[in-house]
Parts: sequence; C-alpha cells; structure tokens
Amino acid sequence: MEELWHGMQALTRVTTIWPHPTDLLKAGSKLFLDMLITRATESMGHDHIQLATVDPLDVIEKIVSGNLNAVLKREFSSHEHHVFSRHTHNPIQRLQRCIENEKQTYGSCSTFPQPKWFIQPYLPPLVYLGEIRAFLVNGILFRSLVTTPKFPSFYVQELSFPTPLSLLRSVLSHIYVNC
Amino acid sequence: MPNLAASSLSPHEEDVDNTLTQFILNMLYRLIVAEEHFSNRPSTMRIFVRIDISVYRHEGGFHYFVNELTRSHQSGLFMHWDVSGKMEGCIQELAKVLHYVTYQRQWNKNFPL
Repeated sequence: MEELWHGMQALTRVTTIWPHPTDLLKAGSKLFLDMLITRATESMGHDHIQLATVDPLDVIEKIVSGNLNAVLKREFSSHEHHVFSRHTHNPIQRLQRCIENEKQTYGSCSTFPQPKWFIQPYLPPLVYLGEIRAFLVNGILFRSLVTTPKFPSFYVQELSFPTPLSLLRSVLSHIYVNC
Repeated sequence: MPNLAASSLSPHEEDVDNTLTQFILNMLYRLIVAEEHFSNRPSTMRIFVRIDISVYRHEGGFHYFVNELTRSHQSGLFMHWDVSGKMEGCIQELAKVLHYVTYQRQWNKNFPL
C-alpha cells in the first residue's frame, strides 16, 4: 500500500491528476475538513460550531434521553450510516452493531487508521429549512440548491433567490419557540 | 413549509454586505488558503467543490455557516432533480477547466495544478 501511495505522489509531480490521490484518501475525513472550515470561518471573524471527539458508547444514552442536545457522527462514513440523534430509531443496538463492524474492518492489520467519532450540536433549522448546496467550478458559483430531508430522500429546490438573513427571523421564530 | 429559498424578494430587502453569494466566494478563497497552508500543494477546490451551507442563530442574528465540503467523486450532484439541465452545464465547464489545467501544466512546468 505504501509503494502505491509513493507511486501516486510521484505521478502528481509530472502531470495533473484529478481527483488528487490525497483527496481520495481524505475524502471522508470530516475532522480534517472541519479544521479547514474552522480556520476559514475564524479568519472571517465568525465563530464556528465546535465538534468534540468522543467515545460513542459514553454519550449515546445521553443523546437518546435528550440530556445532551447533540448529534453523534463518525468520520469516514456516508449515507448517514453513522449518524445518531435523539430521533434515531433503535440507536443503542444500531451503534453497537456499527462498532462491531468497525472492529472487524479496522482491526490491528488495517492499513488505515481507525475513524474517530465526534458530536456536534443539534441544529433544528437543518431539519426544517434544509441545506444549501453550492456548486463551484473554477471559483465560479454555478448552481445552488436547497435540500430538505423528506423520507426516504430529499425535497430539492433551485435557489435562485435565497431568503436574506435579515428576513429569516420571521421564518424561523416558530421553530426556535418550539425547541 | 418555509425554507431558505424566497418565494418573493424585493432588492431592498437584501443586505448587500451579507449576501449568500458573497459569503460563499469569500469562504472559498479562505478554504483554499487554509488547505494549501496545511497540505503544501495546490488545493483541488480551485477546480471543483460543493459547499454545503446552513443557517444558525447566534447573539440574536442569523449567520451562514459551512456544514460540509465535498469534491470530485464524493459530491452528490442531485442530477435526478436537474430538470433544467443546469448541472450538465456545470459538468461541461468542469471538463474545460480540467483540459485547461492539464495543458497549462504541459507547457508551463511551474503551473501549480
């Protein structure tokens, strides 16, 4: 594996490779990407929502009972396979299964380091208002969508005119009152 | 259901210093600088990135924040909902950019990407 890695690095020195091999390896590293986001956000003079690495078995019961208002996630994961909130169905058994699978995948012989678990604050607006997905090519904003979770998939809407932040107070007020 | 897309908008209601587009482009620049500082190589966010943005309330006001970054094969493109064909244009532009950086690299050995 190490020889393959060195070979890919050597190739990038003579030609353009896209995606870059390092990006392939770091694709699911949410904590690395969050570190970049934190640095960029702080350089704009804003606060960024802090993540904290945890032992998942220490916090899952607090999340389920509502004593900890947070979402438990794992890096190197996709399709919400490793996302646990107070709304997750059968969370403790699911988490135990995840950890068993993780031990088998990332045993002592694994080339890759064991992924970390972390918590982030629970954000009601994500559920109600959705997320903006902005596609940028060559530094140009090409397209923006708003996606709102709608079982089993999404409700997707083009974002031609985003609601200005100054007008969100009226849109969001009832959500915060209910939380 | 209310969401982040306005059904109607007067230009007078937009705070020009705090628009979504300005936030995204400002953030892209800073993300690239941060990544190139840590990785010591050109960031591929110069070519393509999908930035996922949400809104949170802090000290009485609302703010955008970056929730996630995805690039290359990892980015879902939501093609299923692309009835207008806008994403096709985005992909064609990406193909042109990849040709551009590759040829620049051949002609100019100091070209960063």
